[in-house]
Amino acid sequence: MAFVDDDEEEDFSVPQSASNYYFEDDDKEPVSFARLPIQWSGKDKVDGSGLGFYLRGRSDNGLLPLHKLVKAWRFDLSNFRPEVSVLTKDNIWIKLEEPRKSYGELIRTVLVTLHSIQFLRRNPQASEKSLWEKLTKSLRSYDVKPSQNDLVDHIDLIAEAAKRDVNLAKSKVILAFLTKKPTKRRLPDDDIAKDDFIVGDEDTYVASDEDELDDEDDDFFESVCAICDNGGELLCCEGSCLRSFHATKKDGEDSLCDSLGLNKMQVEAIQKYFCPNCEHKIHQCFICKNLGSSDNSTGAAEVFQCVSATCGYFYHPRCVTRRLRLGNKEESEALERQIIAGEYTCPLHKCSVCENGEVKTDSNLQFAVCRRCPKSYHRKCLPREISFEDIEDEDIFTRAWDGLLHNRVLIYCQEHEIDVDLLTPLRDHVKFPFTEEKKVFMKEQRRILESHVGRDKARPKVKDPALQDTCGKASDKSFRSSFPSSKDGFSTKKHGLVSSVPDHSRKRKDIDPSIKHKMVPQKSQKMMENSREAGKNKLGVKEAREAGKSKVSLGERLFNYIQEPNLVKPGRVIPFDSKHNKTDSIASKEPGSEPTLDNDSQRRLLAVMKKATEEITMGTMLKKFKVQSTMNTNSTRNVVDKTITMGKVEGSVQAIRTALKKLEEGGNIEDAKAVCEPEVLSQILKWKDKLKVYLAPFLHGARYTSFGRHFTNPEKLQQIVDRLHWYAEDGDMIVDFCCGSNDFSCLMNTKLEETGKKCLYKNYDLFQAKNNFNFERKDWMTVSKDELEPGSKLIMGLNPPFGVNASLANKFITKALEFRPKILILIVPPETERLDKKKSSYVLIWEDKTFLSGNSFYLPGSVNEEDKQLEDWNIVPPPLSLWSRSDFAAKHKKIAEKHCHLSRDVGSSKLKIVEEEAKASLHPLGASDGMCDDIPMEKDELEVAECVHKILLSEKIETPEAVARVHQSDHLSQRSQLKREEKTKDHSGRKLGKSVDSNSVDWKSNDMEEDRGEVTRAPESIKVKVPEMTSDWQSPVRSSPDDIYDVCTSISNTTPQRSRESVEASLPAITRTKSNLGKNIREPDCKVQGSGKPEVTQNRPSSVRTSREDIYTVRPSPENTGQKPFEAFEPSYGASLSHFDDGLAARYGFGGGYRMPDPPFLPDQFPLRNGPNEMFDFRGYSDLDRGVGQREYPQQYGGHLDPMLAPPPPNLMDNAFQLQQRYAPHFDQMNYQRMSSFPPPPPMQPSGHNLFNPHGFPLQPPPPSDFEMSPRGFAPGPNPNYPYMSRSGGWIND
Amino acid sequence: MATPEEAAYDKFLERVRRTVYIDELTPLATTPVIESAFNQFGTVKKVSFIPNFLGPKELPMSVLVEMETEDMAQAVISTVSQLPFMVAGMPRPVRASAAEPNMFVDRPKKPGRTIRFRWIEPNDPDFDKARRMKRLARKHTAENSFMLKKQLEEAEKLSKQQSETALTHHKKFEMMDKLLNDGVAQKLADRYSMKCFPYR
Repeated sequence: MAFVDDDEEEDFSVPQSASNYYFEDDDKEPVSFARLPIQWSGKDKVDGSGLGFYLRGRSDNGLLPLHKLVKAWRFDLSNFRPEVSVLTKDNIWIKLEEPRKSYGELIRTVLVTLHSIQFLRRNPQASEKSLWEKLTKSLRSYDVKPSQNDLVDHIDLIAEAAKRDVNLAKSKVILAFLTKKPTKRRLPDDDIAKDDFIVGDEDTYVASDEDELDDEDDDFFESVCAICDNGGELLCCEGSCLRSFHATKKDGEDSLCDSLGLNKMQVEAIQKYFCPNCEHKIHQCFICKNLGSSDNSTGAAEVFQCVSATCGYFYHPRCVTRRLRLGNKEESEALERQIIAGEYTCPLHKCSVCENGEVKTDSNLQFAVCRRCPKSYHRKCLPREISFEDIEDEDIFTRAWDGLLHNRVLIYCQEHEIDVDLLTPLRDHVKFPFTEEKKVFMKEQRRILESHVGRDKARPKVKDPALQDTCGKASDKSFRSSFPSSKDGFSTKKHGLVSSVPDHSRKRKDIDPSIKHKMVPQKSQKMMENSREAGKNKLGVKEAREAGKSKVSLGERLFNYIQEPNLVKPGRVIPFDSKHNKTDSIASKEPGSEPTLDNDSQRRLLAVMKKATEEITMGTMLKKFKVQSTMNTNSTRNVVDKTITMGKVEGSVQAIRTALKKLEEGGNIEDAKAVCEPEVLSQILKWKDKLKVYLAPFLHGARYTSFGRHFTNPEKLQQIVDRLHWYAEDGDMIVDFCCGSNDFSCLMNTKLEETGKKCLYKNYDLFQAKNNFNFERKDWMTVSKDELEPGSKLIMGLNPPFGVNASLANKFITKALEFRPKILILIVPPETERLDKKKSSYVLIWEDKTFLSGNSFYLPGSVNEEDKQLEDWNIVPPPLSLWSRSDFAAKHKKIAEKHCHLSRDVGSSKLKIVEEEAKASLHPLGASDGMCDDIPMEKDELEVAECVHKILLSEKIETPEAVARVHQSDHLSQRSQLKREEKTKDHSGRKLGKSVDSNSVDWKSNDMEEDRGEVTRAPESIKVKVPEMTSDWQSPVRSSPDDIYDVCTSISNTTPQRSRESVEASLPAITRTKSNLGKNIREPDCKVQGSGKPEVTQNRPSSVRTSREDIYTVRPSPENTGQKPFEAFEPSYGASLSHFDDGLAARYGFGGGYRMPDPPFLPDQFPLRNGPNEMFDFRGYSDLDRGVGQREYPQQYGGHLDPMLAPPPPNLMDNAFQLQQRYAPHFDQMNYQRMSSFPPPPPMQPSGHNLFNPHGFPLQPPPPSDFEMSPRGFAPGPNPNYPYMSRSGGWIND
Repeated sequence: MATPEEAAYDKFLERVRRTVYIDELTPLATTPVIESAFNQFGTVKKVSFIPNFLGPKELPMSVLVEMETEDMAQAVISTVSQLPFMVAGMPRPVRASAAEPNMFVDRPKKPGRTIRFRWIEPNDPDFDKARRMKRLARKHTAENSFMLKKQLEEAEKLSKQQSETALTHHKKFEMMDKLLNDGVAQKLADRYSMKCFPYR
């Protein structure tokens, strides 16, 4: 294979062909070859000097890569199909065969045109209809049917062709086409036929509200280039100037923009762009246009930014006062002070005529802002001279443009002269610091670059000389090593020492004194380089391809060589060559020394790597992974990346604060709005939501496993089955559209078989289910009607992915409704669009909001520290609901009544009872009575209660010690060193929640007895454990499952140093457990009173005690059942308190039934503080929403005594939940996930200790000594030095 | 007629077919993590890590996951190669491919294959070949370590870049969150009488 020489040996007259080709321009953007000049006949030569594209692809039957600069194209219609050829710079015609698949779409219209021309030329009489029929047949490979629209783009081409070709000119169609001069029209039939499905599900459901919000996202900020004031593709500066720029010349070519002069590669490489002004903190004064430092950290700033959120201009204070021509000196000094203090809104925010502010919503009061100086007008105040169009009579140029700025008019006021060519004033207004030096530098750089280019002009895409070098060498090398059998093997020897680039051409000449050289001596040099270049590239690719198997192949060859020495002829080059090669590369090496590679090999490897990286692009990846229906193609990621700049955020935040300050100081609302428009506020919210989505995987890093699926617990499923089977009839088909582990239909099957009903089953999911029972791996959105039984036999539903704002759930349901099933059984979030509100006629039979509360879900594929399946529970459980088609409704209602399913309905009395109980338990008197009556284990408790009084005293004494220990434990855990104070505070505060909590827990236990079989395993544990522990009273809910204990021990084992101490503590701890519990229940008076009054703070030590007690209660319980030594607990407690809390709380929120006190500085989103009222309200609320709530919240968000926060009104809490908690962000939507069932995403603490509470995270081991919880505190995960994931979920932690 | 040796080998091959080779796995992954990660697609019978004796330990690991049936193995491969699958919460998807006999440490001897050893004298005609092979092996090692080094450098660069991006975004996020949390935004919204301000 003498492929190096291919190009040289190619005869010019024989056209090469290119397949899998595409064309790209200088920016590596694919372009249509039709943009090249066309060469109609051999006679007229095209001047191809101006334009040139690169032809990429493979030549010679796909063997060799092509990379050629081409300057013209032609087509030949004489063959069966139209043939297109392109002319390379060196006048070789290359025939184009098959385009690369992705490129095909781009040149489709050209091909359609050519096909039409060919067809019409041969059949001048053909009608338009027959033309399209024919074309549809011959161009079947394209997705889009050919139509007249395709010809419109190439009307010039057709006209020209008709001029030159008599036959063609005769064609009716062509004539009609050319005279009509049609424009593109929409072909409704086509579009719909093709896109029906896609349009259907994309537009209707996904692109609902959310996407709309996104669209108008950043428009409050400048969306035009700061240099030329035109829109287009812009690069946003991250800094405070809030400007955007055309990054490349090309982006700004419409407006003749100077742009930043970057090239595409550079732009892509930029992560965060800071314009030179922001980079050096030297900004221009918008009035005098002079540069000045804006860095106020040293107090030496000269220019100051306008405080308005959307305004990025800077001013010299003096310039402002001068411009405003303030009468007296004091006034101007005051203003200057204001400017320096950064509380000043520039003149741009007041109409220069009427001096009023802007109202964006009223079109008359919208502003027209000058882009050159701080002057603005209301639309209504805009002088006539600033016109939207040229008025030639009066010599008025257009000075105003609508639509470029969001709700604003862009103007140039009369002070600026409009340049006739640019149609804007001269663009000398943007000054970057240090540009002089830079210019020199750039010039220098350009010179160097040019010299390179000059040397090898034909070399396309010289990115850096080094690479070039590499390629060259690599090719030589590979040539020798991988293809030693090549026929010019002799030449390789000459290559023995690889030379630097410029030598290549010379060398080649020596080696290949080929005929061509003689033929074209003049051009030979250039030619050679050119073809050489192509050869190199080919080699490079070859090399890359080869690299994968090179080891194998080399090894194999050697193996063969050894096995069959006879086959290797002594004359063959292989052994020598490879040997030669190897001695080359490791010549200097002595056995035993660390193997190092010589430069050549290194370069070769680097070239291989480079090639490999280049092959992986966003495009190829997207192609590789097919898009699922559950993924939103509208990726918000890029938007987040580039448009929400730091400067904008900082500016907005600052502006909001300033605006409020102004208002509080008695300023008028007008002023405040000038500083911060109301839109900015909503903007901030949108940004935050976006970022939250974007950051989700970092915030939830450790949980981010395995497609983020959430499965329903089998026990819960069993209960659903127990209810549902009554509705099923013989011959029904049960469809689980998102079956997960496929438990549901298995359970259903068993149940129905028991009851003697025979049903069909269908289960769909995107992922292989563990159980293969009637499973089909299929996207639910692609299931068609004929796969399922008719609707009257369908029972459909269960747990779809929720998606942000239930969007996915809606999608799944809508799809399900297409089948018109008789029953839909759904586990979907409450904000899912209700079926009775949809067009379809479905009737809600029953809905159970609390059914799935608590520990109803698990995260498949995720394990906690104990290597047990991660469980998950929802803050607000998704209701379980049964819907019937209207014609079945009556029947199903009856069934429901018969089996008492209705009694569990929404807002049923039960919930009210819950609420009342909750109230009662908080009222000092009512509570004690109520509790006594309600609690089943009263007798035990009575005994316990007696202990309380005795122990109470001793406890008081112990408390200081306890506090001390808390401190100590803090110290151990190391993460709260800074927050010791806070922690103690938390503890004391928590007591409020605690006391209430234990009441409700107990009450709950009673409640649970009713549906013992159904709710969780907690009641079961009562049964099991209570008898065993007669001596030791335990709250049933507290009788935590063994794994809690395991968790404890595992943690404790890592901190054994304190074990002895704990032994001492252990005994009193048990008694205290009782006492404490009893105390909580028995003496609600004192507790609740205490919580209601400021005594709390005085009470602090004892409350610390309390919370500690509560911890103990969990621990001794398993111990008493005799499983493990108790000592383990105590030490673990201190060190791992917070960890323990996180994970444990998360996992056993319900099943374990016992919540640990908060991690010391658990971010408190819903700070509930002193005063039972708020707490009670809160509880009431959460009760309404979920069964577990009331236990959860008071503890978790219970009695924080954070003076900074105002208690949120409970009714608004709902909102907060919706936004913040339940619908935790989606990251990349690549995952099939339902965030809503995530435990609460990290709430933030205003004080800045934003510990992202990793609920449901795997339990972490106690922090190693070097483990530091950063104040930002993401998942307390181990921080391994693993470059691949780079600090795992806690990236941000580093 | 299969000799016991062949039968054992066939059995082994069957096991190979049931096994999935997982690559690009974080070094933090443990057997239970992997087990539960792949248990969602079928039943995992055995998880065996392929130890990395020589390289730096932060290199991605590979592991052999033996499933209960061949179909399950196929399902795992197709699922994981179609969708980015994260294990142990790392923002980098793993790769899955069918296992090959050579990957197994405990593979039985291939029936009919014998390995012979002998010393080669310097004047032996095979001596040169042997030496060449030795060199080749060494070269491969060198190439390997070079590539690894580069790869790790790249990975580090990338991770730095990513974490930087994430950090800035997080900073913004925090800033906004703080604003919303200390009520400033709310108060301002109240003053503006924006009714539907959605926080709190």
